[in-house]
Amino acid sequence: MEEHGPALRAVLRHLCRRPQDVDDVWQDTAVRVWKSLQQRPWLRNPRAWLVRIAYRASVDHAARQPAAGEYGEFDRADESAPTAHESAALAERRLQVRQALDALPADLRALIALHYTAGLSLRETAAALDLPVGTVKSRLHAALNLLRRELE
Amino acid sequence: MTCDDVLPALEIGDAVRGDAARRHAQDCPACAAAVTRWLAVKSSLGATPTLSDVDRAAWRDARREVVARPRPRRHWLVGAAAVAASVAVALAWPRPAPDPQVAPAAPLEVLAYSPERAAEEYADFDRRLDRLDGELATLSDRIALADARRTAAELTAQYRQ
Repeated sequence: MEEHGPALRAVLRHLCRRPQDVDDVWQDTAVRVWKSLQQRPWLRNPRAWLVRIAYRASVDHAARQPAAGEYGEFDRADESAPTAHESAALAERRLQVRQALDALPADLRALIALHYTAGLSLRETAAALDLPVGTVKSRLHAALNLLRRELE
Repeated sequence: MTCDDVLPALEIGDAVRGDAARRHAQDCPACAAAVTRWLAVKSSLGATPTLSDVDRAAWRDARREVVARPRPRRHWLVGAAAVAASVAVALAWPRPAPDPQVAPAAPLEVLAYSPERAAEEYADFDRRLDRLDGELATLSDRIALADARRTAAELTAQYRQ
């Protein structure tokens, strides 16, 4: 958890649309991880395994929630405020990235989060999303172009 | 290489496409700016702040919650034991003795081809064919004789009338 927890939490921030959802999914992920660890204590790639569980938990959580349009404006106040160890420029950039990511469809956002934030390879990302590697590549192609247009 | 292909080629393309994208970005100011922006975004995406104490506490609480729950019994162990017991009983069950009168079947004779054996079979077949031909000739003579007798009997009957 010391090694992969920060990346896991960052992935959840990208996957979930509200901060309170991040906390809920974080807790749900922790429960699932501890349960699974009782059955398979040895893992070849702990980060990919953790991210996959977190992704499933976020998908299940989103399925239990009402449609995204009912939320109105996203509450990103805690994300935009610079922390003690982050500069204002970095916080500003993170806000821009967050807004650009929010403009992406959910499947492309998950792909970006798993590949770039969690650091999973394309093959691991494909496994986590239950997609062929070719599909992941084509979606990544589309996501990069959408992000480019959002950030211009 | 189009402008839309630059970022994907840099990220998921092979070395050749990546090199083509870099050369395209050197000549295209818009793509050069997009690549610079993307590198910053990529760095931001990979930045992971440390976990807060609240997050750590939630993780530890989840572990306590899971450990406190009784672990489900492994029903497959019970099933496997039942199957093993059934197999042991089936193997140890007394069986009727085999019938002593039944002799084991003799192995089938495998005949190998030989020219002498083939010539002998052909000669035997030729003899049987000659014998059958003779029988047919005898039968034909009998039929002809019977026809002649019938014709003679009919003529005799006509003259008597």
